[in-house]
Amino acid sequence: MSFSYSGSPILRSVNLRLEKAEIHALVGENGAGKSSLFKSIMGIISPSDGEIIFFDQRIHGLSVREILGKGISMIHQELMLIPELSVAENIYLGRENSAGGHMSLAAIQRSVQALFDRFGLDIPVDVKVKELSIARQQIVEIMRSVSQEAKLILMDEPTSSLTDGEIQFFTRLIRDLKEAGVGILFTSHKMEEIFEFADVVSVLRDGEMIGTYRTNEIDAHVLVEKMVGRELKDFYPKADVEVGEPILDVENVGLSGVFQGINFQVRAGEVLGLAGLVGAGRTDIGQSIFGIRPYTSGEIRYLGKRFEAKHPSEALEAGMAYLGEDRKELGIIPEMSIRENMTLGLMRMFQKMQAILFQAEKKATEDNSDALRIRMAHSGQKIQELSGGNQQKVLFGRMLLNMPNLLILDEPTRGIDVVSKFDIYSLILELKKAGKGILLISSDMTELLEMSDRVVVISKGSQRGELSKQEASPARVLQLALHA
Amino acid sequence: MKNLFLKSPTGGIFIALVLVCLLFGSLTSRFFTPMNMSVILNQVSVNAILAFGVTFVIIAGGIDLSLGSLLAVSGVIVALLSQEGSYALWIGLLLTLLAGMAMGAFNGALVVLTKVPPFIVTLGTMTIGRGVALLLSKGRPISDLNESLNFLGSGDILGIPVPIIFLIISFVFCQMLLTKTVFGRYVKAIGGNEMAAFVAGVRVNRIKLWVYVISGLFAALAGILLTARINTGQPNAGLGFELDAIAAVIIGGTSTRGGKGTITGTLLGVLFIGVINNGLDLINVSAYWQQVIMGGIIILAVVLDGLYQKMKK
Amino acid sequence: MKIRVLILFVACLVGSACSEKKKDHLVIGVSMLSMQNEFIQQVADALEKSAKTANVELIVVDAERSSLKQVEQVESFISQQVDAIILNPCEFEASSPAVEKAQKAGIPIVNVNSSTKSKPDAFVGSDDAESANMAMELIAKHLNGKGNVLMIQGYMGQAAQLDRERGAKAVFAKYPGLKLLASQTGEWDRAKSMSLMENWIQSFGDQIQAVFAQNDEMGLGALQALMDAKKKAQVYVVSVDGIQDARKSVEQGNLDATLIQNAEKQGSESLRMAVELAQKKKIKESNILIPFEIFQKK
Repeated sequence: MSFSYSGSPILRSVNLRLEKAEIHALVGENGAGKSSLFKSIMGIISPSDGEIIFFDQRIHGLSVREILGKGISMIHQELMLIPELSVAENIYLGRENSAGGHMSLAAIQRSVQALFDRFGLDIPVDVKVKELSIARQQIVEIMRSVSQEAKLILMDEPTSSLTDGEIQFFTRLIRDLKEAGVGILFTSHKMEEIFEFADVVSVLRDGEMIGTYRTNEIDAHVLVEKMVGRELKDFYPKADVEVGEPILDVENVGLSGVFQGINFQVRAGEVLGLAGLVGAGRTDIGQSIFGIRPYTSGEIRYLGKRFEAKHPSEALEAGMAYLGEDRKELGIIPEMSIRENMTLGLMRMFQKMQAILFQAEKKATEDNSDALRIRMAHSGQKIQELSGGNQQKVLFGRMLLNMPNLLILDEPTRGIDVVSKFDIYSLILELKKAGKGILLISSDMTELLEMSDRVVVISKGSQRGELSKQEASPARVLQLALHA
Repeated sequence: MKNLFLKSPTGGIFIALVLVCLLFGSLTSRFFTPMNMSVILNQVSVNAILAFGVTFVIIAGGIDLSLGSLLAVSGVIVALLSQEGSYALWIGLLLTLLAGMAMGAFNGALVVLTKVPPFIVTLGTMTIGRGVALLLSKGRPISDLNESLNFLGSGDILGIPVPIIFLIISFVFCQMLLTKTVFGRYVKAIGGNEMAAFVAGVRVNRIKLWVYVISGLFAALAGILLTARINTGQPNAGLGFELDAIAAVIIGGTSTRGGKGTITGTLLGVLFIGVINNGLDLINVSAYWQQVIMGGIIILAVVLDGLYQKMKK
Repeated sequence: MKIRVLILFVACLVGSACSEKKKDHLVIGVSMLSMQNEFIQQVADALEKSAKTANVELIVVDAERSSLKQVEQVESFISQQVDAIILNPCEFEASSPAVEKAQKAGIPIVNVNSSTKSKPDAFVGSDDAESANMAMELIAKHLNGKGNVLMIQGYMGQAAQLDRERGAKAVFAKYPGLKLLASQTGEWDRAKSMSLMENWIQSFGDQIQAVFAQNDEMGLGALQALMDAKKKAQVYVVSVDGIQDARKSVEQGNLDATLIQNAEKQGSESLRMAVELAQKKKIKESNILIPFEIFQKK
């Protein structure tokens, strides 16, 4: 199975070779050309020149339907299942009347059950798809491709919406598919999973194929350098920063029914990491400090004074900044411009008697955007048109505008590309150098341990311990986090 | 120039409006007369003022079904306060506007404090309002009003009918409020993503309350104008007006899901409905057909606007 | 009034024996089209007044123009076992089930003011067609049988609108010189009719010689538009119902005429019929038409 390909302004002379039953990762920054490549293979867009060969057959120029017939299928990020139909019906959707006449529902169910048995899946075939978790829905979609006798499946960020447990399940399925002789080409931003289950990784940058490497012959660091196109001294930049006065003192703080007895201190020029499993109460602690869900017991001192925010605006005015864990839900207003998103909640700085000072707002946001290297057409562009990483930078811009002393960062790099991640880590270091205090909440263990000066571990709403940088190993943190 | 026009979010409805005007203009020579244009503006003023107010509510992601009832209550109040030989006109106007704001605040407070969907809250206050209007008026129209109140409905200043002057002032005020102030910015933010606005420090509840106060204020102003125009306070005035106003807002491109919308769009939506009403009367379509055609044209306009928005992308 | 009904209802529930006990007076249920309408209000007032003198207990409810609500109200009258029902129908067709249900339950029912498709035990009202006929005759007389007329209709499809249209059309047939320039609905509403008249002034201008409005509210709306356009002097306006505002306007010399439906008499006659039917008396005439009176400036 091989194909080569060239031409078009988005993709230039891309050559990619895929062996039978190979798991092949495709990496690159947003806009590097990954989805264009996928679309070309599927016949959705046609390349200006070059050729795509699949099992010795030229397939470029064929229609999408014909390519599907050849045994190539694609799993989109947005699943294309019909929620109201059963699992079996979804898998056979549009093929109930294929060769051999009309298939009864019972026949469809039997055939799907046999397929599931082959892969050891315990998903009931007769439930409605909407009742399944996202991960299981994704498996149903993959099984649809398998049932169509796909020999190559393209997957666009297949794990982006899966939880850790679901990813393991997914990994097993991928291996089983490989056993069954199916080739997989997938995109991902997550280094761990690339090395966990890909055999081969290809790097695209600005529409060019940089190279293809066996995953056992390359390490993450080098791979990122290939993607970014420059040397990264350290993916998690560090510097010696002198720790100053305490900024935040959290003493025996609790929120009834959610967490209790939390004690820690954040000082100027340091990053305090908050570790724990999802749902342990880390996010709630951050939100309590910031006044989103005001705490109900204990005491918080901020810059030496007793502090209790009843509303986020009070925390903002006191010089705090907050980044929510879910960018879409707690961060951006998709329909509004980059500028309007960056100054949201801070309009008191850009108004005179309620009238907006547009010039001042524009200048401040554009200066900020330049400093943060936000890739955009202009600051009046809608934020939803930006990539995840750039959206996140806009939210950082919002925090910086408030000139904060304390930043509460909940999952600051979730779901963003690797270059933006690096930029954000560099920024956190800058903030540290400038004497800010940072409270970092993250599920990415490497990130948390690399970036934090000290780590507080939370489990089931209680504090399980505080570890210095030297003490904080993944094993130690996990041991505390799993504390019953 | 072409680009500028294509970029405008209200381009679609603007084209639709021009098309219906050309249609009526070609069907009757009575349509494109300065006098008829003035008649149309005069007639739409009440609906326009209602619609401007409720545009804020809809952009903030809410809805206000009590508009028609608030209009009736305000109309009755201003009539009661303007009966011959009672208070000076300005006292009546001021008290009526304050009453409108108070009723709006009642809506807003219920929405904010009870977390009951605004659709239900304002459905309730719609019925309450109608009852209050009947109670205040004892179920009968209130006539014998001050000449000075009637002036607001049928007088003119420098040749411009007073309702049109109110229409223009309200338009400019709402346009500025929505696009040039912090309040307007935050109204859009709340409609776009309420949680994100809250986390960013926007005083969400306060803004929501004010949005309903504005809606109440403009309903009261519309009530005053209607009362002045027909020269009586009618407890059953404004039945179904909320639907006309909300329809105008939606036709004007404001999203029912909130977050997006313009006052200019609302004005175009109001004019669109007003022009169709006027034009159908002028060409004397049968009363049965009027309703069918009206509904049909509105659906067509919205479909065309949808196509236009797609084309823009 | 509603509160009183509620109190009665609660009292009934508490007493619970109230339907079994032999009452010393008759109870009559009344469902009115809409208490927001001044004329209907007057009929209701007349009903109450006559009921007091006849020692009859009235339960008056407002159907708020909903025939569905009206049928439900009659159903609840039936379950309260009233002695008779007076119905002021919302719609010709849709209020019919109310009449049928009452008759099935053996409770006499009297329609007041407008009719239903199903025939009640008695009808008291005025012939809507006659009022329109009289109004148009006034116009014909004023124009000497020749001229341009505009007609403002009520809610399309309602009995009153259909009858009044029929009555008016008969006059047009009688005088070939009368021309109906246009007819549109003003939905019984003053503001809507004012806008309609403004539009007509734009399209017909000085051709307009007379306006017939199917109720006073609409007539007053048209009048306001004509006065604002300073065209009242050349246009003759007649409407029907004789509500207070209209009479006042006639007295001030603005509205040219209105036809008074005698609310007082409709109320008192329908109560008398209901009482007689409840007492199982033999009635001579089951269709009582109260004549209209022309109200114009002397």
